Amino acid sequence: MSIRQIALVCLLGALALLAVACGDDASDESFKIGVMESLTGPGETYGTVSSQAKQMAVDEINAAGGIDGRMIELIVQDSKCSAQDAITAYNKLTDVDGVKIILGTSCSGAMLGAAPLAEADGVVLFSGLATNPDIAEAGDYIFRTAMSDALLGIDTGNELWADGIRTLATITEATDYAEGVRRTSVAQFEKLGGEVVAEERYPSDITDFRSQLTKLINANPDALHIAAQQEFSGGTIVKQARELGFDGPIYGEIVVVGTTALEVAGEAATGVKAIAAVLDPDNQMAQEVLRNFRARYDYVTLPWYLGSAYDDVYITAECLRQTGDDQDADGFRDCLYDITWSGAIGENYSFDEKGEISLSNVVVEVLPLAERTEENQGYKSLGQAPTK
Amino acid sequence: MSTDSGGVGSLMRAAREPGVFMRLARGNLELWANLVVITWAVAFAIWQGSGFAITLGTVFAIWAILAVSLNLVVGFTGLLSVGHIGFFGIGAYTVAILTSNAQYEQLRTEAIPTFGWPFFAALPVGIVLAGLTAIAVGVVFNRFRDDIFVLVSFGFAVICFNVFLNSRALTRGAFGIHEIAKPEIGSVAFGSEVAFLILALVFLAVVVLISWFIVSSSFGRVLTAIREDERATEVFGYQVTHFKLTVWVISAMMAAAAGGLFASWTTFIDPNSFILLESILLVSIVILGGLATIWGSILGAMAFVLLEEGMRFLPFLPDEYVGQARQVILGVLLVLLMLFRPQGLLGRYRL
Amino acid sequence: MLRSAAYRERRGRILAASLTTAAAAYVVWKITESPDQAVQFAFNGLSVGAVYALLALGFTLVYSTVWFFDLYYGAAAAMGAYGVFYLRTSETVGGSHVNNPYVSALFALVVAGVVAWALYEAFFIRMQGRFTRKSLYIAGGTLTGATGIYTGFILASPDYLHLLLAPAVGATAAVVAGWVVSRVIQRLFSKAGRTTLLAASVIVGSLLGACCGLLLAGAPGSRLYLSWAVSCLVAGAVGVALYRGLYVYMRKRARSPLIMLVASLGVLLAITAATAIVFESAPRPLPRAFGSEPWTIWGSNIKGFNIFTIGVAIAGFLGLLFLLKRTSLGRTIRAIGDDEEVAKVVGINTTVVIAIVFFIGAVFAAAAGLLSGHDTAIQPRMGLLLMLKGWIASVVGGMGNLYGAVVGGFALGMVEQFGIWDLAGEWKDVISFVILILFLSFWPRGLLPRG
Repeated sequence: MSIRQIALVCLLGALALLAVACGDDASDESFKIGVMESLTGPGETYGTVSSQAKQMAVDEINAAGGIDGRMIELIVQDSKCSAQDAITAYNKLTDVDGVKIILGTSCSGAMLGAAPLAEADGVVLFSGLATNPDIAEAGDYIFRTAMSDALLGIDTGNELWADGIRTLATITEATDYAEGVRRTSVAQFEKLGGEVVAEERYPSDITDFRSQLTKLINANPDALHIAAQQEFSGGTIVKQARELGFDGPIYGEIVVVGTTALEVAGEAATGVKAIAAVLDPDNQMAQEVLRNFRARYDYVTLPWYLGSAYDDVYITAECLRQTGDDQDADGFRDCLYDITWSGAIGENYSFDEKGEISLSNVVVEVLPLAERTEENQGYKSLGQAPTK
Repeated sequence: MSTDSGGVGSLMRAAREPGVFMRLARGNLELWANLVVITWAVAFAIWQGSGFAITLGTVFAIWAILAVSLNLVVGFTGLLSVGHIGFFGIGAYTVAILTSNAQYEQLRTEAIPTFGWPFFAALPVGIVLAGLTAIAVGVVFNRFRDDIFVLVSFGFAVICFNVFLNSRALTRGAFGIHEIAKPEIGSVAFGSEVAFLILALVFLAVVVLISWFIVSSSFGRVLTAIREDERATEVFGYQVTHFKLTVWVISAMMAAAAGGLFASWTTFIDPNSFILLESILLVSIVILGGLATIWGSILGAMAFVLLEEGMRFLPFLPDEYVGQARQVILGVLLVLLMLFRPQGLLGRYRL
Repeated sequence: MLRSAAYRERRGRILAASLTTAAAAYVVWKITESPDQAVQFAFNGLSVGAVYALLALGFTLVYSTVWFFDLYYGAAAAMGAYGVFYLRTSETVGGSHVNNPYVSALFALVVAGVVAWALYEAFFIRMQGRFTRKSLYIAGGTLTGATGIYTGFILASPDYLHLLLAPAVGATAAVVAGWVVSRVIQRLFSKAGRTTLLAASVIVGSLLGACCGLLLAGAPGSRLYLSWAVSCLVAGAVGVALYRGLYVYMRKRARSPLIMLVASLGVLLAITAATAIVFESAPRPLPRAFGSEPWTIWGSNIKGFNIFTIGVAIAGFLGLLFLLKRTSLGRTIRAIGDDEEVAKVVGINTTVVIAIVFFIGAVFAAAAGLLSGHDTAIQPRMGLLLMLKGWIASVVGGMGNLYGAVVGGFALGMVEQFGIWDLAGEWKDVISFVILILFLSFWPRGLLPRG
């Protein structure tokens, strides 16, 4: 045999060995929980925060001895912000890793993509972030500690009307989440008698909104409503609207007042109002979670969703303690329906028959650049949104 | 015509006479390309087990149909079309819209009309629709060639993507379409992964057969002549335009069939599957495999699929970078091929 | 056959004329409907049009010389923008540490390679008679190594950009000043001796150079603008490296310009993806440059920076025009564009001249990228999008014609804006491509065809 032939045979042999060697040797004692978050792409900011908060909670639980001595192990997949990627991630988690309980996803679009599969397979899908109203109807195994945009929309519509806004222009990112926010807000606003004079949508990957904004501003609305999926585009829209000379009030939701959005917009963001869920400053637990998170990761953004993701893990741990089996999705589901929880995002909340929780939103207003600090996240609370 | 037998033929010969192998292999890039990709595929299938291999097999079959169909245009008419993904999308969206059985759809932001057709009724509609589009587009694009054709075909891909994204009443835009039906023939449903893989391979076989028939018929010889010297062929009295348009339309219809399969396989599509970048990647597969060779395109598609999945197991490469890393490799491969082997790995014809 | 072609052409002309009239009527109608919005759209159109025009200039310059579209310029635009981001991450929103030793080393290598080649082409043959081969190699190697290390340091320590660049800028200023002084003296006193000339230019040059260097070293605020220069130069160096390393060999053997087109598409693909790996795919803003406050003119708003961009595009155009029409280099470039073989025979070093053309083109593209990045934001995909827009602009304007590139760029910007007056804004890209295809069907050679 020549050297070439020997080399070739060796190569083939090595390949075969590799194939044999890579068997599975799993089944330790830990509970396996899947996590799907948008770690890259449009939902990067909140997916990352959420996944870090979950990891922090799991580490706390494991450090305290786990659940009756058994540890929790998170298997994280990137569901991006799209249904397609969520389906891929879901299939991997259930087929390859064999999990039955999945915490996630971050984006409504991804949630709506994976939900029908989870419902059909009997896998629990439990999100701390997805807010599209349609998720309520997605099925028995679908839960979330994020509030439906149905509530947010009513609050937004009321707030707009109460501030004397009668004509509105909307700019909306073409994603499930942003469309949900727009739809519910506009529905309530129009119910009260308001009129939408102009509307524009944009795909997630553009960075120049001036032509759309020019048309919106030219329609002479009392106010501009922004529904964005990414903090970056939310902040950029605010900035470019001001650059184009729009001086009316701007309304949005939590994304528009996120840390990155405010940094991008700078001074232009001052006075922007957002209707959002905010952590109660008197809730000791919430404040402690934020402190720990800052100590561990050196930043905090979207505190309410951080708390929501954190609570999800503790709720999961409690239910695992009751069922004692991470493959028992049905038991886990029943446990969730029965549970009443007090955590970072609120006291004594529980899931209704659609797997939803209901807490309340507040109106926040962005502070001038000089007054923004890490502590106040750059905005001040104006109290509960008006009810009618 | 022996366009596609070179690689396989030499492989067969090597299998019969092991002693000849080394002599054959020396400096024989085609043989090496075949050997590496096939060994890789087999090793991968053994390593990952049948479940993953079946999934990959289906992905491969869809890409292979696309690559073979595009190769008809690029390899036999010399028109470098970067817009092929548009026809793929037309097929996919037609099947999706016609078959989506949308109990759950109606919940969502913008409800679309539902038809609930079976897959095999919707697929021909998609194919015909793509064919009609191809005729319209082909008539307009006929006057362009070389770099301008590349530019306008970029345009076709961008226009298709934007139509998918923005005509919300029809395609539900960025939200995508869920619950696309799986194929059924009578009582036989291709619900399982294996059944679907078989169906996809059958489609691939049909596409390859049609392509082979086109290539080896007198029609194919005229095409070759056109590619070599368009003016001369015209002088001989052939209607060059008609020949080009026919191939273009057939190729578009094949791509639409692949699109229908894709939609039905994933059961969910959104415009992100039909972006310009995918189209560029498809062109790179065709060029990589080699122009004017059917087997080359199939091999190119196989290498392409394996490249991505193979890289998932590189320990130093985080999962989210796999797609990007593949793109880097493809880009570099394109440059190297253009530099050293402009006809592609198994190609007969230089760009 | 002939008659049918003539007939088709006439029919095309009539159709084209009526289409143009219809479009013009539409625009006029829209302007009377809302002059405010028209002015604002015009401002927006000019702002983006300037970026397209810059890119189209780069495309056109290269196309008119070597007759293929180098799609690398899309990547050059992204590199220009990301170069600024790379050097100024610490001042950017959401930017942590992206400064990566491998990236710095890679680009330092590219720059060193280009410098080595430039030294070889410029001096090796001329000096060969006077010095031994060995000493030439040593000198060239030292210079190359020094440049590479210097570039590496500059890229790796963005916080000291102004200090590190001060000597280079000072030296450049000194050489330029010295040259100008010697020229002026020669003009004024034609009898001045060699020593006087030398002394005067050295004194003035070194004084001015030292002045510039010191000023720069004391001005950390200049770092942003220095980073513009650095990223443009690096993108240009990559352009030259691609030409010398790849296209030269391809052009020798290629049957059609598609070979180079596909290769440059591969380059674009690879660089786009590599950018996404190093910098993540999410969009990012660049640090605030000057002129970010909007000005109100005729009731509409435009940022000072946009006016600056328009100025850069026009200045770039005039500069290129001057270069091509008035200098000897320009004449050789045009000679190569007309017939490369003849140019070679006449004794023009075509490789060097074409390399310079590629450098200029890439610098234009990089400038376009970083200006648009400052105006809106940067993302890895911007290369592909800008490349397409620049390509369209140069084709619409007329392939190979500088006037066409500028007209095409601004026209495309305007069409994109006015086109969405009645349509939703998301159809912008479709409009530009539909216009392109319609346009090419009637005017295959563009608005202002060459020659």
